[in-house]
Amino acid sequence: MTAATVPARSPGTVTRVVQTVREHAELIVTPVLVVVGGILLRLNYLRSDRTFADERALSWERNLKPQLEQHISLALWSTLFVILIAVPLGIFLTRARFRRLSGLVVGFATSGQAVPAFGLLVLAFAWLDSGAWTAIWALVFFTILPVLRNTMVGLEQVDPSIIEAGRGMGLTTGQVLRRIELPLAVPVILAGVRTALVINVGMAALAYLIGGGGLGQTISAGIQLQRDLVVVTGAGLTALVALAVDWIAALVERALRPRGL
Amino acid sequence: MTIHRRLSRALAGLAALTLLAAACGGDDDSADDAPGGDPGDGATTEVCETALDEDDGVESLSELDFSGLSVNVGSKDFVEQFVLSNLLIVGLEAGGARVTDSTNLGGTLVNREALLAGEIDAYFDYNGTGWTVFLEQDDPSFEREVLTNDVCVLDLEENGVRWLGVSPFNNTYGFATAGDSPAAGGDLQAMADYIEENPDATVCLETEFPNRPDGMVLFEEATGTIIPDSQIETLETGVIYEQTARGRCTFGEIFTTDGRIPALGLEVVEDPGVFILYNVSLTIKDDLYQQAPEAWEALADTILERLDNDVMAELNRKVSADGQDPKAVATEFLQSEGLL
Repeated sequence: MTAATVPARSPGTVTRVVQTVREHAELIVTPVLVVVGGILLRLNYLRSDRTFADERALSWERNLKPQLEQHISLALWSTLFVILIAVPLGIFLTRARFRRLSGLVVGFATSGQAVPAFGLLVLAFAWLDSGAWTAIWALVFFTILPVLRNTMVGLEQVDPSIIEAGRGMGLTTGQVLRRIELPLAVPVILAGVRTALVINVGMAALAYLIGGGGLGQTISAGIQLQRDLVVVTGAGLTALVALAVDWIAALVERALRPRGL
Repeated sequence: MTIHRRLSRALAGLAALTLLAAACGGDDDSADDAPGGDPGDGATTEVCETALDEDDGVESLSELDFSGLSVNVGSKDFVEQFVLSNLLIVGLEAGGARVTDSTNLGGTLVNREALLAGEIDAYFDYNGTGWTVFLEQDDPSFEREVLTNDVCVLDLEENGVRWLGVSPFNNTYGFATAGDSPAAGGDLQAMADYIEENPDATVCLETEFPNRPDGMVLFEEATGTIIPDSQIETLETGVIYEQTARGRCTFGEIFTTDGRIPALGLEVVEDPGVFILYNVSLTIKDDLYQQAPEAWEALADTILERLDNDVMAELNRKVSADGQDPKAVATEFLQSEGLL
């Protein structure tokens, strides 16, 4: 942002304001973008010459609202499962006794992200049934890596001398983990969760392929109907959801970050 | 506001129709009569010779004279179009034309624009598409010759494009069930009733179908049933056939001449005339047509009159399920019909 060009000379009011803006720029810019984007999509809709198919595909009650809800729930459920699986797994793999397993597990998780998203959905579809839950499991497998890796990195970057000091004060290994390691690793873990969340919002746009619903339905309908208005609205809404979700995650990240770090 | 828009559109349509009727004058009547009846009558006044006329067809494709013509043949991007364009290519070559093969050029609009721009010379398109998409008209006729003639007359006048021949097969939207499904064997009304009586029954649709003006809305209007969201599953087109055959979709949205219907033993739900017609015709620019009018008409009729839903689905099956080459399938078919 423009704030970056202001030199930090006299610590006057202006500089302080600039600093505050710079610190929170992310939190201010995103909601503005979402609102402006939403207004632009709406204006684009209103000024377009709409066909029967446009009206029907972009009907709020009939299509957009349920698809929006499906889309968000696909992203939230899959991210929740990713956290429930990847964070304990990351803790487990950084314990001294199990560390030698980490190469194997991380390799497996990497393969999850290496497979193209489309292929993963189709594989999940072949093994399981069609529907939202299949899509959710595919998303979980796809985004387990960033959370797992960040959990491990977050825990490993804790200064060993702090852990030793904790042990020296008489804390058990469990207490060291809960009171020292995890709080220090939280920012890195949350960054991973945020990445997973945003990837899942994007990926959920493909869930329609296997009957998982979501805004991908509108995008696909627009492509097949060759109606730009429908494609733009569907894709635009998906982007707005990703931005909004990322913004909420940023708020959560700030709230959960341990004080004094 | 919507009502106002609809009203003004309806008025505009009405005005256009009145103008058209006035412009066509006497021709209009003879065009209406033509499908049912005496061929040859009024041939000079008729703008479009689209009725399937037994006399137009030939016994052997080598009778046709396309010598000196070079023709670039396009097609859309699905199996049926590959088969059709290859039937045309083999026929044109038998008649001595030099043919460029642009099969699988792209989607509907790609082919249409290439035709209008002169980048391709001929491809097959569907009367329902011509009427609703290209000419942006409402209320299509449910008689195939009438609809094709309507399309041809208007398209010739507006864009200089001719529609030749009309296939008995109708590749329209429809529903199918697994062959052994308890829901099999009814018509669309029976399907609507079955869905209401069995809350477990699912209907699988592709993404565009609920939104098309020639899609789900016609089913809803005809049966008075709006299928609840809980019973609808939106899937990718290709997946629906297999899921229907496995019984995971009680009813699957299908195209009525798709090769997977015979391949998977699906049972098509009987349509008493709800979904609009999609019979195929050869579309070419008028100036190319004028270079060999009899030969073009004879070729289109000879190929198309043999293709009913079962024949077309079977040819499609050979390509989509057996993996045969479309050109081999086309050649074999024309040979088996004694045309080569």
